[in-house]
Amino acid sequence: MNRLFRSIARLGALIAVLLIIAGPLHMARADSPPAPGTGHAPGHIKVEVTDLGFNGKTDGLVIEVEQGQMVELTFTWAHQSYPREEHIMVLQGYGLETDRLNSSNREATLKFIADKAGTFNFKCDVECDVHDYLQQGYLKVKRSGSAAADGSAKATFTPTTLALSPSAWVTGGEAVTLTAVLRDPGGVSVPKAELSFYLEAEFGGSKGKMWFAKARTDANGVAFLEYRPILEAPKQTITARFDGMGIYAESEQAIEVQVIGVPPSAYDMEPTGLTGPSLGVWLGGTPPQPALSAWSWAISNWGPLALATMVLAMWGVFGFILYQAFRISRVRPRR
Amino acid sequence: MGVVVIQVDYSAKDKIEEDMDQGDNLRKWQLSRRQVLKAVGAAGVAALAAPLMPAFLARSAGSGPEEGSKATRLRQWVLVFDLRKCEGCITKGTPPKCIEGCNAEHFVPEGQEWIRVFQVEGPAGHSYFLPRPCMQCENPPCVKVCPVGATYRNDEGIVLINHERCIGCRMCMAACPYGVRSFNWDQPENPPGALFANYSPQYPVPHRRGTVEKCMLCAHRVQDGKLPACAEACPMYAIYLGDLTEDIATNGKDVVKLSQLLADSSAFRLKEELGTRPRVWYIPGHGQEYGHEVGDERPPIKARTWQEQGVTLEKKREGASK
Ligand code: SF4
Ligand code: SF4
Ligand SMILES: [Cu+2]
Repeated sequence: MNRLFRSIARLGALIAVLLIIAGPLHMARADSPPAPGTGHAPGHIKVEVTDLGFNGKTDGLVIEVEQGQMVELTFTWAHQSYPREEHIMVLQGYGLETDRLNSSNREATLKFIADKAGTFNFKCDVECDVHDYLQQGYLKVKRSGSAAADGSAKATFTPTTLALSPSAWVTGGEAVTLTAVLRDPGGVSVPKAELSFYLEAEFGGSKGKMWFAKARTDANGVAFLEYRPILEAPKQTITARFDGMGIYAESEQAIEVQVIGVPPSAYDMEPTGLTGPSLGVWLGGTPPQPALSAWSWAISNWGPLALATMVLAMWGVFGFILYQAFRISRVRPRR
Repeated sequence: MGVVVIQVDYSAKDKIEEDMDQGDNLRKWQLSRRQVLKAVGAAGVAALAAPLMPAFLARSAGSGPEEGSKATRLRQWVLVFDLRKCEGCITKGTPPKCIEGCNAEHFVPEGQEWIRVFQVEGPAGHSYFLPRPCMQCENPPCVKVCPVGATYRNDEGIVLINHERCIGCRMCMAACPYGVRSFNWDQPENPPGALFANYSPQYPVPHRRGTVEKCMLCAHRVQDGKLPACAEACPMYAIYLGDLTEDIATNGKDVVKLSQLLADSSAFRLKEELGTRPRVWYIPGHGQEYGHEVGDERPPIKARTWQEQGVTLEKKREGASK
């Protein structure tokens, strides 16, 4: 309730302020400097997150960069009337997000190579209508014909190495915690990177890499995955893969697992049918317990006999009824 | 009552005397009525027990476990139809290949389609295609009603029919909510040499008159690590064979994690509310991945029978050995 009231009050205030400063703001927009990040040097772009949106623009900031250029997009927390505001900025098209911005952590930078051309939305990821409205901008990556044409060398991705451990292990089906560490050549860890895990799988006459899980690296560039084998193959190859992100190039690492015996099934079927109360007898599709009790053993073996008895009994009853019906006609007086 | 009788029969004294004894008779009758009530009770108990007979029968027949898979673990087979890829083979201009593959594989009797491709009207007035095999229900009504235990569910979750047992009562056809079963009213044509083929519920050739037939998920193929005939024939790779125990599936091209495939694509099952727990999933779509136009109303072309395709047992054997 409080939050809603605050939002409404804030929107009201916003509209009032807008009405007052609409003119000057418009002028400010007209003579704002050309989009930053032009030229061949790494594009350093500063975005101030103010009470009135990105760089004071309420209708979405547009930033233009060249394809292949290195971009540093820095967000600065610059609220005045709302000291408790918090934001997380995301550039979804590039799979990037900042740490949480607030009055104590005022700056965060997204560093990436703009290798994909197109227009990408960047926005605040905190769920709130006002944030959706105010913290919203576009990154335009202009398609460059060829790198050689304008003489600028394209920024190159920083190679990465992915280390997966334990590098080899033996399991009888119990779970193992896999640890993946993603670093650049200088040993600097790569945080917030999404790793995909694949298994070398063979099924129904087809072989292939089967995606089975994903994990994200933490601030130390480490990702954990609890892995419980489900495939039956005695030797299994697990590949962890990083598809590249920001300024980092892709990398992958494979390990081999030896599985002893048959890992537990990934599926337990709910039984269908009826249980004979107190007998522990199961009548229906699948018996729930593999170990048969003496009772069910007897019944399953004497089933046909019991069935025959039952059928005989039923016919006996019918026969008896028929006989009685016949008797009724017999006891009727003759005339 | 006795009075009435006496009035009618006043002329014959001995008869009257006999009728006077009716009191005795009535008493006797009352006695026996009690017996009858008891008997009816017994009949009721028997009638209650009757539905359990097929379970007894199926068990006693040894028709349950059908070991065949080479895997060390029993599989739990499923099928997944990716309707985003299925476009009824319209854009290909051919009859649905899954039906034709099935017809050729099993010498499906004329007039039957074990997998049928329906053209369905979607919520937006568009049309899409729905291939429908047997759902291999986990809780199959057809199995429950078969009075002789001829239709049963094997340990790998495939619902099979033992045609040597089937008496042709067609109870299962009435019970199946998906209408997947067909009946051989006449002796179906069998391929030459089929009479000497080794009949098994997993591969029911030769076909017999007076028995019920349906899709059996190519039990004979999957146990050899092959895809069912429909999945193998599908040019769009729209049909996945899956195994719940390994949580894996393949369409002959990609190997995927079954649970992920189903979860990521809001897969559904047909008539789930009936509690039959079908083992066949559908991924909603209308063939968009292969350019099936939403407004394209063309129905699927009629599939050719095995005779029209010119399949013989020898050709099949050759194909298998290659
Ligand atoms: S038709 Fe055959 S399989 Fe079907 S219920 Fe009757 S006996 Fe069983
Ligand atoms: S779909 Fe019909 S025939 Fe197949 S298992 Fe279910 S009830 Fe039986
Ligand atoms: Cu925000």
